Amino acid sequence: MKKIIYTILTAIFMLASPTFALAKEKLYVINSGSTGGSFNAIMSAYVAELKDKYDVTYVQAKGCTKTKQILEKVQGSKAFYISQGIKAALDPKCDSFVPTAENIVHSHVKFGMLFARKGAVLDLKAGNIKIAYNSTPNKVWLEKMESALSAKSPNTHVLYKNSTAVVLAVLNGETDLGYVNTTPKVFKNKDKLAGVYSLNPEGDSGVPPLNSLVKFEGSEYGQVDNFLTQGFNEQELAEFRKQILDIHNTDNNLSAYFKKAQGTSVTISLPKEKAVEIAQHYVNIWRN
Amino acid sequence: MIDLLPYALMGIGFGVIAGFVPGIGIFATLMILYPFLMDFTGLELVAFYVGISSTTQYIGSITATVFALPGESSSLPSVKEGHALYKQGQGSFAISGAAIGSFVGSLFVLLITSLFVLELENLYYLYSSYIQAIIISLVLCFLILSSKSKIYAVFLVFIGYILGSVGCRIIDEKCFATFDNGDLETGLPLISVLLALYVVPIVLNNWNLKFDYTGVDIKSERFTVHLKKYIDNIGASLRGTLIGFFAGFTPGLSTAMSSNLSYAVEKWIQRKKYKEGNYKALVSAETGNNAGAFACLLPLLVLGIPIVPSEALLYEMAVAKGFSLGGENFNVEFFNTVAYMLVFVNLIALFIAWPFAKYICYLGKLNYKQIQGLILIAFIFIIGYVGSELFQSTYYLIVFFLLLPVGILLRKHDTLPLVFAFIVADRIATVSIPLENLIFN
Repeated sequence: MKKIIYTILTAIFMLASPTFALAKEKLYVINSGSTGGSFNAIMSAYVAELKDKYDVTYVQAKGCTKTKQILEKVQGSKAFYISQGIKAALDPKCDSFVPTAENIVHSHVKFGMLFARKGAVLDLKAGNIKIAYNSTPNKVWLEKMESALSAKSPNTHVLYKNSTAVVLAVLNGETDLGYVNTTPKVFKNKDKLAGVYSLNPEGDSGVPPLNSLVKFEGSEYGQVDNFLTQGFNEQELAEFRKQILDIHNTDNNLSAYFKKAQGTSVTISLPKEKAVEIAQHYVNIWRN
Repeated sequence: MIDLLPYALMGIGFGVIAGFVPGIGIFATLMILYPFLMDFTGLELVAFYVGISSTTQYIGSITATVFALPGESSSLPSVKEGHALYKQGQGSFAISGAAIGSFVGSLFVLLITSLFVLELENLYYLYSSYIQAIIISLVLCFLILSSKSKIYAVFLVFIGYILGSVGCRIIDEKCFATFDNGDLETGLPLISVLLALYVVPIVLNNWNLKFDYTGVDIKSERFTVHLKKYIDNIGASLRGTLIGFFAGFTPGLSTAMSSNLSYAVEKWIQRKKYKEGNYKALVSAETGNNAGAFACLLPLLVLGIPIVPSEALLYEMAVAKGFSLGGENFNVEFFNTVAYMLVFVNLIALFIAWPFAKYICYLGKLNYKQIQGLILIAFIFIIGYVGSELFQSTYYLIVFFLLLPVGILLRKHDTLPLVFAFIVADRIATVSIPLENLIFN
């Protein structure tokens, strides 16, 4: 009788414990951004898809310093993390997160947009316009635009926590214009909001390029969010890229997110060399 | 929706324990279950929370009525009126009145709110920095003014704000008191701070409470007799619903405000007729309590603003899973999911809290002091576990143990102003920076 009980208990224990049931390889997925932003949404969606193949531990690092520390602590294990290209270029705390052929999975390429409430008539060159923005690098960019515009009266730049707050500020009339690095939140509210100028030199969904109003260093710069790895050899990285491509090609929360991200593109289907070239280009342009 | 029911059921199960044992409450229960809950998705967490938060309101009145122990301050009217009825041999009516009242209160406010759900969806778009600043200021003023010592409360708010400001802010990436330490840059951990300064003082305050199980007897009557008694007093229940709903928005106090205000108004209405062991006052307070519990959830679900500590913990857990509550994520579909869940949970809780009340009372046979001791030890392991998930277990434990003496010193005081200021510190920066830009530029 005792034997039967022991056998049943052992079976239950083994089934309940993923370590015994199937020895999956450990993978640390690290969100280097805030918990309330789109980085968390994207990385959580990756976790949901990757946990069938890996023993995933999801870590909220909330910044570059902690991300670096965690990557050091998990050296020898596999890690998959997200890094904002503009920060890798401009923020010394993030300068080690540079995309290379050894670490790149893919990048999310996007172009910023200036937007306003539908029907609003705004003249940036006349000035006196309140512009909502988020993140410190965007402040530098807005100042460059401002000096290139030479507006009659200065425009006011209003700093918000994230792109959601920027969109909300324009929606509730707190500011006249908003600037965001990525457009899905603008297009999601297309019944209330309209793009004014896009940083994409070819324009975006009928929104004219900013170059058509003013040209300056950065007026047509795109940005990338880079998806990078640590602890993968060349073959493993190629296999991992294939797994990520499969996730993007399957119906799930992640592929739905990127499909809805109008005006943006991902480089996962490109050969690794091309993906590195694009990622490095969009990091390096911000270094000047 | 159906796939969420098991999570709501689990919430109900733990809600029975959290509601029965005084001083444990929802926050401590969520903490104890943290390692287990982190396997849930965001929506499953919400289902669990709806289960636990609604059920505790039902069960708390049993503990109050039978054992005269207030599970939380919202149960004080039940201790006074319910226990008096119990001593008069009317315990089953006190329990059924509280349970039916709670059920009616919950469903009534749910129905009314569902009529305005489209307006609620658009409410977010009116949520400007000015309105946010007004709300936060009002809340802090209210917490200070409702404290026994206003100066002391101001001091606690200041300390809470300073603690909450440690770390690097997302909005402008400015860091405060981080000393180039990667751990400090992520801020002081919510769990360590809230356990040391909020939960431990409550547990210590309830340390000497005892269940006296000897002679527990709940005489039962026919279902229709109970129902008739409730219907005869339904006016008090409906008054409690309305008062409780609006009072439930009171940050920090929420259900305590709902039940005590409904109770006070009902007593005032009866004035000379009032005698201790008053069924109407009890039903009004309990109905108000549950209406308040729903109202308390709304700011979190609609705007993403937690107004009680357990909601702050739920919010943190949900965002860690990539699930943002409130704001642009609030929509009719989400509301309906929560609404169906609430109906289901309230129905089950009604049955547990009324016909099965005497079985719930068996929990009174447990050695409560031992349970409290175990819970305090469990907290230490859980802090370590949660920290280890972020490679910060030492940091989490150091913060907890550094703040613990402060929590012990403050055990006789209400630490809610401190806790609330800690929770909203980041939000204050998030609102004040754009306002500064808008006003001074």
